[in-house]
Amino acid sequence: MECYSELTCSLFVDGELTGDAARHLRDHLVTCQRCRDLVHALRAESRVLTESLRELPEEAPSPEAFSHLGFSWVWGDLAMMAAVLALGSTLFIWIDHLEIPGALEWFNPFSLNGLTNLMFNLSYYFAHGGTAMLTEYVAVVGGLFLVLLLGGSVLLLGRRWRLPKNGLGLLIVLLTFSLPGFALERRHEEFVTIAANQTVDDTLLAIGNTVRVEGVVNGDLLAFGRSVEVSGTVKGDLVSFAKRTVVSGSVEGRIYNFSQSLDLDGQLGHSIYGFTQSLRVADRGHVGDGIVAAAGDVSLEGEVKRSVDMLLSGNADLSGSIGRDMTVTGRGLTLTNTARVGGNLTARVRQLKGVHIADGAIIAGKRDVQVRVRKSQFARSRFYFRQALSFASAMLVGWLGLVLVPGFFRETTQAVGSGWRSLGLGIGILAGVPVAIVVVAITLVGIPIALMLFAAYLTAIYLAKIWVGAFLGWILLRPTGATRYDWLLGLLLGLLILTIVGFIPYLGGLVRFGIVCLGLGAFAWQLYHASRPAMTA
Amino acid sequence: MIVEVEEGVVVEATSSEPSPLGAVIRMEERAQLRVAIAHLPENYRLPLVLRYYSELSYDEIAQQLGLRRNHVAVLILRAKQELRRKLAHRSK
Repeated sequence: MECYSELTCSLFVDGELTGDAARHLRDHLVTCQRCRDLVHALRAESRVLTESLRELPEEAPSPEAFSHLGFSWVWGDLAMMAAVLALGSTLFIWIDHLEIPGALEWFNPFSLNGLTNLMFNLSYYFAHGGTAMLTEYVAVVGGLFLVLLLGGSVLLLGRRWRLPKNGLGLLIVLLTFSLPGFALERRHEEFVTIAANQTVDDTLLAIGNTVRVEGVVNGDLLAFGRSVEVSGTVKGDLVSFAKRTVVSGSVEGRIYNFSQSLDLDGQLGHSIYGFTQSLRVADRGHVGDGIVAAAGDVSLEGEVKRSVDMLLSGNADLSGSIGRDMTVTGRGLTLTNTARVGGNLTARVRQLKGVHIADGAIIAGKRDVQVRVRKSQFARSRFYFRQALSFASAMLVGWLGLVLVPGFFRETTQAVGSGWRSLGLGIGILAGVPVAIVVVAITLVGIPIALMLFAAYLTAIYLAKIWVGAFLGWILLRPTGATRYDWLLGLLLGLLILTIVGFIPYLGGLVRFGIVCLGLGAFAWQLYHASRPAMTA
Repeated sequence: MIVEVEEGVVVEATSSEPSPLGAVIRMEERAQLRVAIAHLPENYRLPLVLRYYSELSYDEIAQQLGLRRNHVAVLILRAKQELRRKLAHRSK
């Protein structure tokens, strides 16, 4: 009699062969050594498979498909939550020990102070309305999600540990990059003062209500506080997060400013990069390079050696001198008699009456002042061009995603379908990540990681609409196949709908916000999910 | 090394003759196997895991995955063949 195929033997071993078929095979085995060996080998194989898999409760392929496997998932997730909470509590104890000063108390929603603030603001908000509460809310949610993110990243890293050697390399590079961040001196007091006769040789990280530098800092100065005053010398860069920053001494590097107001009354070696409500270069102020700023109002009374580029929500006043070009987009512009622009003046303003250029003002290059007429964006062809361009790029990115990481892309798209879970997770991440970025930037491993996190954050926000679009298209088309072409068609349709809906007044904004949250949530969930099958020993 | 007895007994039989080195090797092999399973294509991995982890019957697997029973049998066989190929390749 002829021998049986491996498939049949396999069925027999798995007890899936019944009745006559099984009896015939059993009879055959008595006489055929070859088939007997095959069956033995298959049996051994099944046993090894069962044993191996039994050692790994989480090797569940997909939780949705198999409800009874869900248990191990639930336990796994609970264990993760527990780990994250444990880590979180340790972290908060640590953060508490940092003794965050009053100015940054909002960072720490878990202190009594922060909590009472929150309570107060809550009642105030309901009584008067306002946005103060939102800030507090963001802080609370941010704090929670910071912990979740940190824990999640640690878990992700732990799970993937065996796989990416590149990841390890990257981490080493990152650590090397951030090592200068460690070689810094920390000052953590209510009033951080570097007296006139003092010199700090390293980079100084100063956190306090008031940070005052009268002496010399040979490295960079990273300052967080209500008020930061530099009347001495900073040889490196000044990075300032404060309500008010005043530089009356000298900074030989650059100023990166994230303060509400920045006053430069002294010498600056290089440029100012700023996000600030009000920026002022006083008449004794001197900027060795240029200014790039997004600000409310800007007043330049001193001297700027090179060009000035500004995006303003308010007015720009120039009474000092600018070595090269001046480019301003804002509400208004004033140049007094003493103003000097060494290059071209380019201004985009909302109303021509907001522009005052005194006769005595000297502009060496061309003068180009235009009023940005706020006509409906729909009436401009550029608007359609831009939309088409962004649409095309979104399609391109979606296509790339489908080609490069098809599995991840499709699963993330499906994860959007989980609705509330994605939405909730997304809102949390949207609010939490910026806080995490700031905290990472000041406390943990340094600014490079924060910047990378920020880049990833922006990328994810961008990708969000692609996933939501793909999901929407998928629901609408419900293609029978699942080819790349079907996906792209779905994406095209989905994106088109989202884009159009996005332009509905008021509702559109809400929809866009929802899209970002949904997409972000699905992405985060899938990221967590994707790390599971990779779990090894 | 393989003892032809019922599943539960096998574990006891091996643990009753302590051979630390053997145990380590077996653990190592099982870990390798798990890695290989994790890297199987999803359509192979799912039926395999459902069969040997969840211990579902072919019919139940077919029902879960919306496939025909014969197809499940073929997929499981292919999964095993793929694993053999991978592990043989690795041990070279």
